[in-house]
Amino acid sequence: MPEPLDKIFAHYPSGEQTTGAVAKPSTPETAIEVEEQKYGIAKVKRSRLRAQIIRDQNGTS
Amino acid sequence: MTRTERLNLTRVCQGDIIRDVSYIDGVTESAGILEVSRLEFPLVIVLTQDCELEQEYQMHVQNAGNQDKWLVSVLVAPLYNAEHVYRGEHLSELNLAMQQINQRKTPGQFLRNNDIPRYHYLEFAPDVPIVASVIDFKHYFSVNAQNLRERKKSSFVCMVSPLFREAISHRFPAYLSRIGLPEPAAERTGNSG
Repeated sequence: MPEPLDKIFAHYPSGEQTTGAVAKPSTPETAIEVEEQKYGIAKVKRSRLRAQIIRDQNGTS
Repeated sequence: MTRTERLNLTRVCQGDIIRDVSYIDGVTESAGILEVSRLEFPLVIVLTQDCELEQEYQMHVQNAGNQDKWLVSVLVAPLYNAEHVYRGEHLSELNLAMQQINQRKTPGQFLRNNDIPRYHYLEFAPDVPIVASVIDFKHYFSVNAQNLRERKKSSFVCMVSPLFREAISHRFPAYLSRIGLPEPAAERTGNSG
């Protein structure tokens, strides 16, 4: 079983970026925001992991 | 009201609702930098048949002589907050605008009655920490079975009860197997594809 990508890229935490996140107001103003804060029901987000490929002397990664 | 159970089995079950499941939607490499793009879904429901999930789990536990019941992956569908769906904003953080559904008029009522083949509306009891949600049968993806088992350990919410989950697993393939027939006008012009 191959190692999950999360574990593989756990060595490169500094490269992680999250895009599309919208800053939430500290005080919920609408019923939806109350629900989101209560239940943690957020929207789908995209995240990107970046890692440098390290090649060995044979040129394979 | 959708009935649920808190029965948290070690294995993944059909109807399990699990938090924070990712889908890798792209891997690119440029100048020695590998970039993995992931979609982070706050909630998903497991669609794979329960007997298949059980057989695969038993195969691992009992160390079976062959791996005939092995599953490549487990099929899941995202749960979207119904309030977001009404406003067409459930994928707004991906810069995608979806069709709005008027909550107070017929389309909203149809959605809640599960009269629209594309959607499945779920409303939970007050003790279940999930707001009214919608499954969009256009949106589904697969997750590595072992990874989902690991995720379930920390992120299991509840399991949709039998009958209620069968209603979902019945409506899902019905939507996928729909047949679009050509309009008569398109047929005449040969534009039926």
